[in-house]
Amino acid sequence: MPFPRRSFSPLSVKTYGMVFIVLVTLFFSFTSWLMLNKIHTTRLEVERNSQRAASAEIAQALQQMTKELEQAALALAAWDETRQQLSDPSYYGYWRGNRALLGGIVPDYVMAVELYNRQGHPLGAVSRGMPSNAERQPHTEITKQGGRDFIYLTQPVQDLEVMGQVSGYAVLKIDFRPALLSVRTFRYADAASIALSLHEGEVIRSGLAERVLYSAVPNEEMSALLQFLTRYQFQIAVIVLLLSWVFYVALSALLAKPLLRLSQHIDALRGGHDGLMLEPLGGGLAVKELEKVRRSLNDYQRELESMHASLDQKNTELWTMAHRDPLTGVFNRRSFDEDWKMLLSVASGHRVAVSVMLFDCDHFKPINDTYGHHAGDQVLKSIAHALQDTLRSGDRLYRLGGDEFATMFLDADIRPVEEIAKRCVEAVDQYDFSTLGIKEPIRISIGLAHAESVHAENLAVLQKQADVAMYYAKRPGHGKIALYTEDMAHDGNALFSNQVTNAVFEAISSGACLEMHYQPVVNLGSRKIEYYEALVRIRRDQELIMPGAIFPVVEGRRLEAEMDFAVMGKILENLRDGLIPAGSGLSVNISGPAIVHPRISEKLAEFEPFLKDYNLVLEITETALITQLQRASANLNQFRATGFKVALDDFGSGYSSLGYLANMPVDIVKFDISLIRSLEQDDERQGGIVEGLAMMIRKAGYSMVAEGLETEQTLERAGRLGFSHGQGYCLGRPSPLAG
Amino acid sequence: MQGLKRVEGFLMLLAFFMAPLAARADTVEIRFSPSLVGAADYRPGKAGLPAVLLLHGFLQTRNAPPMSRLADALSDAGYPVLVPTLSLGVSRRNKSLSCEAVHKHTLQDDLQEVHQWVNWLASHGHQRIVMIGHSSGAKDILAYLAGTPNAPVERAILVGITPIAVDAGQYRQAHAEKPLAPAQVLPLRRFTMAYCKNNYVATVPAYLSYADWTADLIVSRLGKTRVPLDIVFGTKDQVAPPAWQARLMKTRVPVTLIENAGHFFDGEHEFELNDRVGEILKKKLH
Repeated sequence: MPFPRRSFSPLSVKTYGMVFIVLVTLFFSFTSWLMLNKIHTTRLEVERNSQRAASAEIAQALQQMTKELEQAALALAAWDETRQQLSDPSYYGYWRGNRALLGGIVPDYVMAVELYNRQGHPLGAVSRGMPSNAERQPHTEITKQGGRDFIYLTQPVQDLEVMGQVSGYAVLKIDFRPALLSVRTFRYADAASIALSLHEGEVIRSGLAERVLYSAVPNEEMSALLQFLTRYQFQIAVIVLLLSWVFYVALSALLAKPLLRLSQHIDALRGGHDGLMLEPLGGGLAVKELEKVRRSLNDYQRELESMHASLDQKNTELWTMAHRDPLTGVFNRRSFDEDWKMLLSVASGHRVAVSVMLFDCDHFKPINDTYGHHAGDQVLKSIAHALQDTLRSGDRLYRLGGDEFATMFLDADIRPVEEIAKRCVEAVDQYDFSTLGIKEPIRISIGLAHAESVHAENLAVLQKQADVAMYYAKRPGHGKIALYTEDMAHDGNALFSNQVTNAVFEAISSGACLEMHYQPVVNLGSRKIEYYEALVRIRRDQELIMPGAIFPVVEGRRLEAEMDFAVMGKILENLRDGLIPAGSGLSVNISGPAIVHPRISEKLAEFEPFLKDYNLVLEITETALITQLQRASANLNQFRATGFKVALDDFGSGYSSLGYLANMPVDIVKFDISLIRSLEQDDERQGGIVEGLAMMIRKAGYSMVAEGLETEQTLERAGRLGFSHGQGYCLGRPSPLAG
Repeated sequence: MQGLKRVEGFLMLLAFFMAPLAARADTVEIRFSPSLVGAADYRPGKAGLPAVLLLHGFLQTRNAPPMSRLADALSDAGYPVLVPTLSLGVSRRNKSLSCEAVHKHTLQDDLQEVHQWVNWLASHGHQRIVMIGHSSGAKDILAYLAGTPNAPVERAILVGITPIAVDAGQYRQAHAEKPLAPAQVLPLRRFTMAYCKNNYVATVPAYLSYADWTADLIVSRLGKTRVPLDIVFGTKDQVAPPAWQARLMKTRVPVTLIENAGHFFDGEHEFELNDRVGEILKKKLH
């Protein structure tokens, strides 16, 4: 399910933090404005309430003071001592100065008391400021004198002798302000501000309340509270700013920076920096969730690295599997091809010396068939081990397939390469294969190709040239090592051309293009032809393909038995056609593999009708390739019983030895051409050996045939050595027989 | 003893409930001069019982205990009772006079007023008159009886009689300054007298009229009155000078001691005072 497309760009954590701080600041500013506005409204309301309370308080105080003054005046008028003074003012001065104010009758704020008789005259000299005569009726006067507000209260003193009569008058002088302040403690009106709105000397008798000036006491608690709230608002603002700053710093330290580090770490990982483990984010103030992300990422990174390591290992294993031969451990064909391409690309345009060395185990297939695949595998491993040990350090050994190995040398002269090749052959020769239960000697052949060229095409053919040289090396007389030369080019071309290969396959499959040439085998005593050796040729497009080109293809593809059977069919055809002179004989070459082939009996059975007219000889070639000696021996015994004679071909070459002669039921021994040619070279030592061999074999009862007799002198010497028959150009070249 | 206390409690309860009856007194007045009127509470009693004139102490009024309470008790007991207030120069005085007030009055003024009240009782048909005074009032009665041998008084009970305390130096100085001839207006002086500590404002003659009644004078007069006297005295009287009780006991006047009672017979001693006075009246007048 696809993610919904976002319509905005993602913002950083810091930006979100700043937006949050701005929102918080705006919200706080708004709430602060509301609160300050409320504080202002409350302050106005409190001031109004304070003013109302002060007004009520002043009115109440005035009422209270008036009442208290009236009571004081009444008490004074009723006081015994007042009446005493009115009846006997002898000591009025003392009384006014001491008793009137200090007698406890009038409040302390009464400044002066004066008594007047019923006529309103003072009992004594009036005090300063007091009226000289009393107004004979109760009344109150308020006036301002010397900047101070005074109340003069006149109170009649009742005459107790005569009801309803007045015995005198008492006048009280009161300092207005102390009087008012004494009646109560002012909470709402400012006591210091209380005064009367009077002009100096102005006298009023009523409307006192309207003349009182005062101001309301600021509500200290409320003012303090409002001031506190205002200060609190600013403190909160500072705290909010500090907290915002701390929040921003914390956000940066705890989230933004760790996230940035996380992002950089992931970028570094993406950039291929392996082995990076993210250190704890945030130092001592790690965020749990981020720490979990970090650990998860590190765990994931570890698992990824582990997976990479595993993949690298797998890749290595895969590369090894792809480039190494699983059996021998040396490089395989793919590796060879890749290295070869690499070599060609490196060498292209430069003059470099390149050598290719091919190794092939001689007769590996029979060994494999005889001792089993396990033994064959052990042989291959042993050969690879021996070769690897012999090659120089850094030289790569490749197994191209089957028993074929190869190596290549860059920028190396051919001579050292040839020396290496020799050491390789010797190493394999000296390897003790008997530990594997293999009795037969195991040897290798080496084909070498060398070139120095700046042209890639000249180097590209080196493999093919080494292959050609290999087959030359496998041929008898080449010492197991062959360096490709231009002379091999023709044969090589023939050998490995498709035309030859096709001709060989066609010959085996149909026998149509097979052409048998027969070379006479002459009795050296009578010099008569006793029988003919059938030699195969393949005619293709008027061109005759010789055995030198045929058998490398046959052997290369392990078609020895099939080729033998095809040849036998052609010989039978010639026999039936009567091309072979009656009374003579015919020698048929049968390879080692064919001897033990299951169909050999069937094929030879077809020759049995001709045994009565022809002396039929089975020439066993390449006995070294006989892997099942007992079966071969049994088969040969069977064929001999049927009437066939058995000849051991190429005796003295690498393929036929005394060992085989001793174990095989043989009637005739055909000395290899290399032994016969040694007789022509006057090599006494080698000639002596041949003579000794001939004598020994002759004494053993075998008939001996000398091959390759090309001169009369050799022919005579062969006769002297006891060879009963001979074969060679001087006795007759191979040619088709005409009926 | 337990039974006595129970009786005392009953009397206290009775006095409490009878208080409203005692308050129904008539105020009677005597004009001593054109500008001076004296007042007294008068409650008529049972016929045949002597009238009792009760005189308050120093600067007090007729409403001051213990005489006011004793007057109530005696009135309740059926005795005609007259309780005057000495004017001390103040017409119809109804409050105690403070020390700092102008004290122009003299003991002779007081005795004159007492005499007029005795005459008032006699003029109102009371042939038998008993005088009871407390503290300075007792001294006034003693001075009155000593100076008025023919006073129509049958018996007098002096409750807590004690010489008035004065400062010896002031007293001597006052005698030294005592004017030989009466002057129109004498200067005022401050004296120590009774509980007025150097704030008794009076003229020298006025001061001396009281101060001259020393302890010796009192003791000398106790045995020389025609009218038989009784003394009731509290054993814990703190106002009296030291050994005053012993001096009283040595006179020929019978002394009834009330144990643990102070000068003003406060608390429960007030009832004991009433009982003892009642007993004296019952015992010595019937």
